[in-house]
Amino acid sequence: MEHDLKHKSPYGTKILLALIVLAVLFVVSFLMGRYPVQPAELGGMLLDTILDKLHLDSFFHMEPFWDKNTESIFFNVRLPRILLACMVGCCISTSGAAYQGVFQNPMAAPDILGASSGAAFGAALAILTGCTSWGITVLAFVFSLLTVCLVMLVSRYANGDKVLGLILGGIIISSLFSSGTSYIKLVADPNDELPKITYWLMGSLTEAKMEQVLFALIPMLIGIIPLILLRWRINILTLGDEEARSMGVDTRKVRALVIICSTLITAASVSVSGMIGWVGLVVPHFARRLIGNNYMRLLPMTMIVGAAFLLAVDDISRNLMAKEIPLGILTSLVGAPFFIYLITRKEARL
Amino acid sequence: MSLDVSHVSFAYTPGLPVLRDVSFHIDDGRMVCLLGANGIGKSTLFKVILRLLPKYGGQVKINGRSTSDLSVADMARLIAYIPQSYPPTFNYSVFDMVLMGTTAGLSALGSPGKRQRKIAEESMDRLGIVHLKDRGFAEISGGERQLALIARALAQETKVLIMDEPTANLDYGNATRVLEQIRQLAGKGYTILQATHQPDQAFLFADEVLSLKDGVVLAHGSPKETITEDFIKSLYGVHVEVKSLYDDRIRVCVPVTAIRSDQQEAETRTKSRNEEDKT
Repeated sequence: MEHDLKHKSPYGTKILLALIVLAVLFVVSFLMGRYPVQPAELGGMLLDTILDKLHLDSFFHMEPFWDKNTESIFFNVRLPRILLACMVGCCISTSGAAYQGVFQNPMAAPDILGASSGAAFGAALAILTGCTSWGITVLAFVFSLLTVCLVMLVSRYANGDKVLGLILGGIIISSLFSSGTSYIKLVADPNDELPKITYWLMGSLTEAKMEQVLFALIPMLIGIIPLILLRWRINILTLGDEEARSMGVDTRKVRALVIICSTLITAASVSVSGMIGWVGLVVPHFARRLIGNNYMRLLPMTMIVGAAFLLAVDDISRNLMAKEIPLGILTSLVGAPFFIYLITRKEARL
Repeated sequence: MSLDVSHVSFAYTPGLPVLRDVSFHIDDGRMVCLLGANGIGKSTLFKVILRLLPKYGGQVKINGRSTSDLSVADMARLIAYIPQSYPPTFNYSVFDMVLMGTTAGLSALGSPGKRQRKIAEESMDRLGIVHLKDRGFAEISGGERQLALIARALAQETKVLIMDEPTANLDYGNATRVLEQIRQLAGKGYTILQATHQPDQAFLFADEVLSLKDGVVLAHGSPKETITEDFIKSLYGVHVEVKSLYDDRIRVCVPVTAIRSDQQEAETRTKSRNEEDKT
């Protein structure tokens, strides 16, 4: 018993610490921006909304001491953006970690099965045909799922190693959709559509709205809950098919389920944020460094670190310069040096 | 638990069977060494027994029960597999690695709890590797890794263990230690089928020897009766002399080429000395 406690506590503490960092970052993010919000105003607005939602405002009514503009910025711009940054960061990191496990490949990332290229194609197509931002999101989501379905279909007919078949299928279908995206860029109106496509491809949360938060939330929840429940089994999938089966894990079923769930949350993320590279590769590795490879602890840590990381990068992206820097550019800027550090460290095992 | 293999056949490519008609029976608590040349189908036979291959002919029974309609999890509760030690893709702690063995006993979405941690700890204790608990699986030696993999199989709580050349990449000391542990397990009611390349290991550690050639069982019996000079010749194509030591308590195989070249050397030496004497 005593031993058990001794064994568990460092992990619990680490996860708690990460949660505190995320919480602080979450609050600080509200206060930052071109229209500063004071901490008192933030507290007042939050309390007022909560009381309102619980129908308690008749008992305890608060006189707004903040102006209407602040409130509008807070609820329509900053809140959805911060929520979305956390959700997207959490999901692409989780899916990266899950893919790394099922493909027994530390270099796997959420776009390994073409979810991103599919989404890019869908978004480009939506922009070309003049869809609204809502249409772009939906089309990106649908094409992202469609791509992965195609990859799984191709891999079904591939001979030999199933994992290799999936990875190769991912490369094939990805490049197919990438060339489609290139073609759309070629025929797009260079004054209007082309910059819009280019900007989408770089990834950004500028247009985050509450509807998008709600749109992404459902597939994200549907995907992430089974992943949390299956996380012990992902450990066993990393040992390879034969060993995993001999240990009682139905690799075909579990892997398919993990891939479907990871794809769902990747698609939901990419469709609202555009292409955000590196997060899904770097964050899981950073979390591995913090808490080890056991998915029981790795997955929760990845979720928290991913949310915090993207939130921090998004804060930089909207505050560093007068004109926003697209997220995708910043994540690569941070991700590349970090990965150099990872592969050059002494105990590197990649 | 007993293991029955009857009329098993398998081919990766149609028309080129690796296993043609393999049948044997292993009694409860026996330690059996499987001998055969490289590529003869030892690993394939193991995969058939573990039901890792999609389609095969014949039948495998564990304790009299056919395995063909068992689920993957049910299968893992009957029989455990111990692969050759290897450096892992992701570096887990030795304890986590052993704990993974308990998965077969969990519900579909379950994860190990206190009971499973205790099982893992006990299996490590049985192999004397509790001190490696918090070390990384990638950082320990090949012999320690092999013992950890055996502990993982014990944590699976089955009575039949299949081992694919557990000592293949180990130095002499580690190999001996690992085999000693395996022999002790056989004494405790585990039924063990182990592939090996060393006939001497069979003499030292096995109750029975099973050998494969041309897709069928070439011989099956006690090591002393089975491993003869002719047997090794037909199995591996080399000449050996089987020598008996310590009043036939132990036997060893010695390659004849080694003996001959030694003799030849001695002969030439005497010859040249004789010639020197003449002159």
